[in-house]
Amino acid sequence: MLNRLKFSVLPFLAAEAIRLLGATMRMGTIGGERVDALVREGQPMIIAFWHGRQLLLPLAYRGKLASILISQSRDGEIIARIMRHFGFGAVRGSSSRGGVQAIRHLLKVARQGQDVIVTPDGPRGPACQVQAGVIYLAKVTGFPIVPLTFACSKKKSFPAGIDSRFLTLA
Amino acid sequence: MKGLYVWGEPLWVNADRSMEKISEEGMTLARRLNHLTAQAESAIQSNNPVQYFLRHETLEPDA
Repeated sequence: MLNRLKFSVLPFLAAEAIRLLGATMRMGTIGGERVDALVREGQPMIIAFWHGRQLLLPLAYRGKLASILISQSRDGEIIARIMRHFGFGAVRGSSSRGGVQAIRHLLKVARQGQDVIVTPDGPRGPACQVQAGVIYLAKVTGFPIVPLTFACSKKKSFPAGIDSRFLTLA
Repeated sequence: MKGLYVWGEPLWVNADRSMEKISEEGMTLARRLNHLTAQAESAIQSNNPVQYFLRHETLEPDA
């Protein structure tokens, strides 16, 4: 029963909370035309943002179809299910677990023309340091890496998994 | 409550890049993300974050 709540009800509620939060904020965007130009050209991309900036980033996506690299942990499973509510696919793995398989899977979805979304500092950090996988992916696919970030005027930060990593909440 | 998304300049990685160059590209990406984030954090405190960002946008620092 608890697992059912955790893995089916919680992701739905979390996705709705993210949407509600986004709808109540005055959002601005800088540089969206760069992404729109790539989308118009039919050029798939790798979207990269720091792990600590991820909460409202599902609302920023401007492409057609994307898969997100998400760790194989139980928390990762919940995040994958939340992302499904936004229409994103999930590729499970990270630099510390299932990395090689994940890169193979990402290459497969990239070859199908999907965008790929990654946190280049991975789920376990070190925070704000790029792991090699995302650069390798860009080299092999020829896709550009488009950096994305988010800031909000009110936030509450809390440690999340590794030292000095914080999730930015509105 | 305000929020600001900032998309940065795309980074292209040539297929013939060596592993050494790959780590340089990684540092470039990290620098770019940190620079965008710092600028976004400054802008979000203003009344009009988009205008503030555009007015105060600075070039990414060199390696």
